[in-house]
Amino acid sequence: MRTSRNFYSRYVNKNSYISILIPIGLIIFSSFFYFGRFDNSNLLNELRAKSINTVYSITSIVSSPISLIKNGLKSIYEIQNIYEENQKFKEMQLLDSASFQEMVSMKLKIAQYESLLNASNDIEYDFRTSRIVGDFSNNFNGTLIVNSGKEENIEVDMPVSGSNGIIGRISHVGESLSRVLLISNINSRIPVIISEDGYHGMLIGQGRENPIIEFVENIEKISIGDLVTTSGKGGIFPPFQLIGQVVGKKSSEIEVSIFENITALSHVKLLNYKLKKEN
Amino acid sequence: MNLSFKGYLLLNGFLLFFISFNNVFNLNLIDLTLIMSIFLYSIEWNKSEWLVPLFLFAWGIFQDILLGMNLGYSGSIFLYFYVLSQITSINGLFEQQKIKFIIFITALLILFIFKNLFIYFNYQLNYLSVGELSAFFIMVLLYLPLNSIIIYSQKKYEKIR
Repeated sequence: MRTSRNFYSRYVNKNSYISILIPIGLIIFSSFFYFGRFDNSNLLNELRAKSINTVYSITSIVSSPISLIKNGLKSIYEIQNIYEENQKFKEMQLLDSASFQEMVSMKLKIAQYESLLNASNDIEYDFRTSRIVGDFSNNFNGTLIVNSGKEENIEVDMPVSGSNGIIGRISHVGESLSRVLLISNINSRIPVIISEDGYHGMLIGQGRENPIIEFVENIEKISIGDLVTTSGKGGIFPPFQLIGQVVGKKSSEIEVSIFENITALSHVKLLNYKLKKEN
Repeated sequence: MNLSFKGYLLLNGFLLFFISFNNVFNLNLIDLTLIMSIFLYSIEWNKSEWLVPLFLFAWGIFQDILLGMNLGYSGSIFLYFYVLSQITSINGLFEQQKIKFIIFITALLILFIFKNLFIYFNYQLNYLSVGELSAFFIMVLLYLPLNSIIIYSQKKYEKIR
């Protein structure tokens, strides 16, 4: 009896160790994988891009009932706002028509000056509108999933913008879905210009709403409210695309509030911009 | 909890269902990965269980692909709380709810400090903010009701069995 009890306790102890050792081993393996950033390799990047479609399809089927309820509630809330917005729109219409005319005449003027200066016309591009199907902007690795992929000739590094300004760029492309790396993502770096005087800097994602600009020249000359646009350096983003405005200033960095409210977006523009290389 | 085939199916279904919640809810203050961890910590697992960690690892990778995180992030968190649950269970602390709660807070604090230090050293960025601290306290507050629900369901399940 005693022998069998000892055997049992030894058996249980052995199994207890196994039940702890296996997960500890897996934690070490996961951490090694995470900290080593092996998934940034080309092969794993490709695998990851390919698996987006499958993973998203499965989860969207499972979450569809909750998603339906959520969308229904959102629609009711949106309908409530439409009347108010319509009134505001009517008031703004007169003002908008005046500023639209001003913009068109300015655009014509710029075109004339560019042709006089024989300047290269490298900011012409078309875009594709795409619907946001997954919003994961709340964590430090903020991303979106949009319903355009290789089938629509979407490519990695295509700039993505909302109606008010740039929000990020394409980081992975699947067959029919792509992932957008947001400006707020901790891995995001965008060369920018600040204010009308064109001071250069690097916009760095902070994993939260407002990104910051570092490596700014003449930081003392920058004031709160100055506009931040893309500089076009690096060839990924077209130049002079609005991003946001300066809302805070420290000795070596500037805080920027981006114009686009990412959580309120339902569609985005994928800009087909490629820097024309002149030989 | 000694899992049967049906139990494994239910567990995997629950994990898939919960991970899919990320598609619908995008809340700054509530981290669904940590809520899942509360569930994993609150359940009393069978001491000779070895399949569940493998499932957790696989579902962690699945969630990382969905969220666009570096592979290994979610899996590490899931397994971390699973191991803690096993350790409290093996040392006979599972029934002592106060000690279990203190262990949970300590574990969450360690995870929180580790995450912030990692971001600080890797990205030269101070990620600590009011929002981040609030998220931590919300998780601590959510532990109590979620733990009670799990204990109640588990006892009921054992009774039916």
